[in-house]
Amino acid sequence: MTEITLTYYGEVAEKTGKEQETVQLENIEIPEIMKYLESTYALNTKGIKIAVNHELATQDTQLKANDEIAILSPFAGG
Amino acid sequence: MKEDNRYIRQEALPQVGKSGQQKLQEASVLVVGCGGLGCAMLPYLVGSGICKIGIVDGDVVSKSNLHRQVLFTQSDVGQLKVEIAALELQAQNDDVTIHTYPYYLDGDNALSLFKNYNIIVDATDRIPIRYLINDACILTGKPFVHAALYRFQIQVSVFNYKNGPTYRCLYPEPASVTQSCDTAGVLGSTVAIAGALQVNEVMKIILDVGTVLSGQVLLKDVLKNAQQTFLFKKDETIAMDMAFFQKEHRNLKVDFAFAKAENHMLLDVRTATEYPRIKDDKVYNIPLGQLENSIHKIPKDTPISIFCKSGKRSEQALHILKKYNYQKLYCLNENAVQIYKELHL
Repeated sequence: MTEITLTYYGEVAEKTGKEQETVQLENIEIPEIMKYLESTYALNTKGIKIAVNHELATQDTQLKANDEIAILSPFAGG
Repeated sequence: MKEDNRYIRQEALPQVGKSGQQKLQEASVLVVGCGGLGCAMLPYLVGSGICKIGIVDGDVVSKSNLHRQVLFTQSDVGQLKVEIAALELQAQNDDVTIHTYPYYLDGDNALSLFKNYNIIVDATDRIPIRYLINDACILTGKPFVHAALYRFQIQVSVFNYKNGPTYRCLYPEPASVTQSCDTAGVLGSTVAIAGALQVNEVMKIILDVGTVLSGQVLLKDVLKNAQQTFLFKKDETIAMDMAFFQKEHRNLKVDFAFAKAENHMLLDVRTATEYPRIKDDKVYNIPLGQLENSIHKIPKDTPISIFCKSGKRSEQALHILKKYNYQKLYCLNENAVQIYKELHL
């Protein structure tokens, strides 16, 4: 298990009820984080993007401990 | 160029000067939406002396707009937003030509409108319309200055700038249902900051100075005074052509009488507490927010015509159903009140 810190914004922060949390995942991979969000918070991850160290990640982005992981989603308001 | 000192303070900037002012006086900007962001941006765009400014919005002023939509006064309630805004703005600067389009942007009008402007600014409050703006900007080769809010947080970016990344490169797929300012709440000052950031990007694009937010999204939290920038790349696998545009954005609209005669399922996507309630064996009420969870209740082999109070939510519902591969989808030309009258009076 590896410990990573996830930061939430906008509506996702509201749905998770927190702005940041540290979680332990078996494999720190992007699909694993998506799965965590779906199973823990019943989030529909279709519109969600993950940024690693301030850069948008792809499914294959390699993660390591202490990476800054931000969970982004589109905002609607204007 | 006019021989007066109207622009002297901005011309004094080395990044502007006489040549920059000339660029502004040759530029044109189309603002899509005349709500919170539009009202925050338009006075600065007009003040700068941009040659031609277009404003697209079919909405009228309502009392709940007044705390943040500062171009409108109490006596404007019920009037078309674009008309009131144009009067105010023209009085501010008669160097600027202001064109008003008192209707909503849609797949039928977007391309012809965009062709006449250099820069397109997103001042809307709905996700599906951002995909429409994005896709029309790609097809017409225009940069797209975007901002959106969630309570005290703002996202700002510039898409399709010099063939750079687009909105679909940042968010490839439309999210399910996201809350607008109407439902999530917003302070006038937050929307003003977002609008000012958008104007700042417009100015940089026209003047060709500084760093444009292309390939990066600025996320600002005004409650914490914190901001971060996230970088993203162009996704070369995303293809955009006229066939895709037409499939995605040309919504078919039909009359209620036609839909009823053709035995369409009539889908009311208002909430259960909205009046008037419509009782008819062809009308099903599934509020927009519950649509995805109720998708199993909606038959795939029947044509579906959707309606709500104003037409906004029916359009969102249509996009949600499209994602689930429903084929025969229409929005009704009539709103709930008109349909109620047809059925019950």
